[in-house]
Amino acid sequence: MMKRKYLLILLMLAGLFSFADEVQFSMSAPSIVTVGEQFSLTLSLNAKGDDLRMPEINNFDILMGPSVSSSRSIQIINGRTTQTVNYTYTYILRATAEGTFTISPATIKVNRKVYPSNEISIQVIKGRQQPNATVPPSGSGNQQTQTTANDGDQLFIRYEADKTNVYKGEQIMLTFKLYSRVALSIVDQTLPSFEGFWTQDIELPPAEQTRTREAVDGVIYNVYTLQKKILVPQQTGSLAIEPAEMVFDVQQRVRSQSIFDDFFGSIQNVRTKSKSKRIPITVKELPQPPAGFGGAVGRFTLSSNIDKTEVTANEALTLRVKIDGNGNLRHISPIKFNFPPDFEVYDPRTTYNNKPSEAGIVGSTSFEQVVIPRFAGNFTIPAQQFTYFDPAEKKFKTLYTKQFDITVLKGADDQSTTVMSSVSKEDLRFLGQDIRFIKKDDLILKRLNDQFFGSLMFYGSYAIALLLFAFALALQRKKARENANIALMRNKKASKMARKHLKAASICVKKNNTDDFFEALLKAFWGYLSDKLAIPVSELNRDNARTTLDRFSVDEATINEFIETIDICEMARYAPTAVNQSITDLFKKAEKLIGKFEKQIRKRKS
Amino acid sequence: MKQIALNIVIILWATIALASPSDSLQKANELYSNNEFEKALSMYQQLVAEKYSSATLFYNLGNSYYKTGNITKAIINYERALLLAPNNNDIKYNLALANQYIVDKIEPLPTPFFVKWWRSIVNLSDTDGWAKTSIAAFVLMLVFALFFFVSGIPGVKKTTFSLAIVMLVFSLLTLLFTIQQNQQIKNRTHAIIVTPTVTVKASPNESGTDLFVIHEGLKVNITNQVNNWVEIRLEDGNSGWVNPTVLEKI
Repeated sequence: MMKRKYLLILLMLAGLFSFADEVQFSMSAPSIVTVGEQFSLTLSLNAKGDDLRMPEINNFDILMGPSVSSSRSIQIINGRTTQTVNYTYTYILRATAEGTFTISPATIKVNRKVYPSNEISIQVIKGRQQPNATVPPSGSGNQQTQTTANDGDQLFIRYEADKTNVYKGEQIMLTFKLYSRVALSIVDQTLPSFEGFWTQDIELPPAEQTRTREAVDGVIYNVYTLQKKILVPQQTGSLAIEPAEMVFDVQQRVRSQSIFDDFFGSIQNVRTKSKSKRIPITVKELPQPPAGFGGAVGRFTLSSNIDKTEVTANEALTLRVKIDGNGNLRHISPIKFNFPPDFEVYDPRTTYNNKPSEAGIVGSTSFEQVVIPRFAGNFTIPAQQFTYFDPAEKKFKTLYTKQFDITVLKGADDQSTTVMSSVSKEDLRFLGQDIRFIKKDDLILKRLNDQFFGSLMFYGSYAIALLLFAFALALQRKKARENANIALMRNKKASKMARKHLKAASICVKKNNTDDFFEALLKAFWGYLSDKLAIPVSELNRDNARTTLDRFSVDEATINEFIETIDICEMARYAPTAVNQSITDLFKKAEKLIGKFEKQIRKRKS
Repeated sequence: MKQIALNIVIILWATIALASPSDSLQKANELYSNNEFEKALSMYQQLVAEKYSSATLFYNLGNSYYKTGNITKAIINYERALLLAPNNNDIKYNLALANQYIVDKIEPLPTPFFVKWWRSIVNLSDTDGWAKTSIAAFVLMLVFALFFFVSGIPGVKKTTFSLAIVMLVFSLLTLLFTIQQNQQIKNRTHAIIVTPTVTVKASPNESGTDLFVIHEGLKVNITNQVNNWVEIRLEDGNSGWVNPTVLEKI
């Protein structure tokens, strides 16, 4: 009766708080057992239920059950009260046959509604040796291990790698497990250093909670996952996961002589060492990587955006690239964009947002790059490729960023910052440096030592020039000498010729032929001077005759006399009447003059 | 059948033999233009091995070495090209660029300005250029001398005499330049270090004191040679002895 009342209150309370949560009904049992082993099958319900119906359980003996236990907790936080109830139904079963068996869902009624549980499957193995007791959930109170059991059988540690033949940069999931059939405590551990790998730990719940059961060679062990790591090989070749070493204290019952001891059991800690096996790992070099491959291995997607496509000059732009996926996200180098040369480019900022998990390193890596266009115009930031290696498909894949077209407008405040509004000049900026191009026009090749200097041609040129010079000089000299000879001849002949002309004149005097007389007289003078002074007759006139005669140191009086005579002769030719001198006197005067010349011209002024 | 094959072989051989050096230089230039530097390099090398020589050939060979990553060889060939064409700006530019890869930084000793001027005048032309200039001046001198001897006019005589003297001086001066240039080419007193690192010794034997360390690509002046050791002098005035295998004469 009392019990009923309580129940009623409870129900009312339950109604008051109302079931916020769904009804959950679950069944659980160890996944692996040996034949004859006792184990518990637990059904848990987070509400009060009735009419539990178990499915038909074959191949297992129900030794006991169901035993019901319940727990309740009430939480009051800031005046809010939450209550949780938990009912547990436990059966103790024993496997009778080998094989994998499925236990179909059980059902239960809560508030007149039927809820089914989940289905479980249990693997039953034969077992190498008949365990004489169940392996307990490790509690300190139970010591049921066999003292005769070998240490190696009772516990060991093991590294498990999901792959042992990988590409460089491919992730390896490494699990460090402890297999144990005894109660133990860890005293010391030496873990390898994973040389050649980049490692990342995955967060795990405390070892107790990771306990599972696993059969190894027919023996069922409790398995604790101590460590989970993601390894990324950084070099190619044969690498290895070196053994880990652990030291345990294993609690063992010691057989003793005393009956009492035997009855109560005497427990002793035995120090045991365990060493894991070395796992060789072969790391292959990636197949011929295409250009632009930056070492990313995994499976990725890429997205890119720019915050503005129309800006004014000197305004900053932010370009973002995000690479999502599963792989060595930490080892992706920023994508290099070909920004227009006039852009001021800042170093990209890299943000990693990833977490190691059971599936590998999952998350994203983002690159944020700030650029400032300094000049107005239309610019294009070309699409850039991101190449990665997909180890699952064993090939390279390429993703592309978007192509961004940017319009940069003239900034209004361009000039306001500078006091003087002058055209801004800047130095020529070199975008690269390279050697100058080869020469293609000069194709003349010479043999070594084949040069003009020192050759026969060289000395020959001097010799020929000198020879030509000597020849020319000799020729000139000869001609000059010949000319001189002609002048000498004419000089010698001069007085003879003069006498001849004078003779002709004297005949004219006798005949009193005035015209012919003057003609002959002039001929005599000019012819004489021409021959004597080596001046052609055509070039002779009074002036140069005077200067030349002066040079030949003929005295002034003689020259004047000569000019006078010439004047008379010439005047007489055109106006014979004007001459008042007799031609006989004139003839005598001319004869005298030629004689004077003959005397005086010989001594030439130097 | 055999006869035909033999004929073909002979014809092929003949065409190869007949290919003129200018043709193969042009072919190498084309290969270089198509970025096939390795092939161009071997063709240039072939021409040099056949004892052909020109500033262009060495310059192009240097460029090929540069493009295939052999900076030291590029420097040697640029220096050789510069000997043949001392005043070529392209060669100077590429040599300066190649010299940026050299490890050692040597501060050259200051040279007196007149030496600098003299050198820059001498380097205005190469040996043959100066030789031809010298001959031209000599011929002009003779022409003026001829005028001097022939002319009877005192003014002409005076002018041609002084002109002839000027030409004679000019001719002798350029002949001096020619001889200097020729010695630069013939003597080859400079060398480039071809070993990555060289320890310079104080005396011409292995037990000599280590003086300093120089590296590949450096230009040195060879000043002396004593039983398989050469004395080198750097541009900063330091000198010492090294094994001749560590350097290659320009």
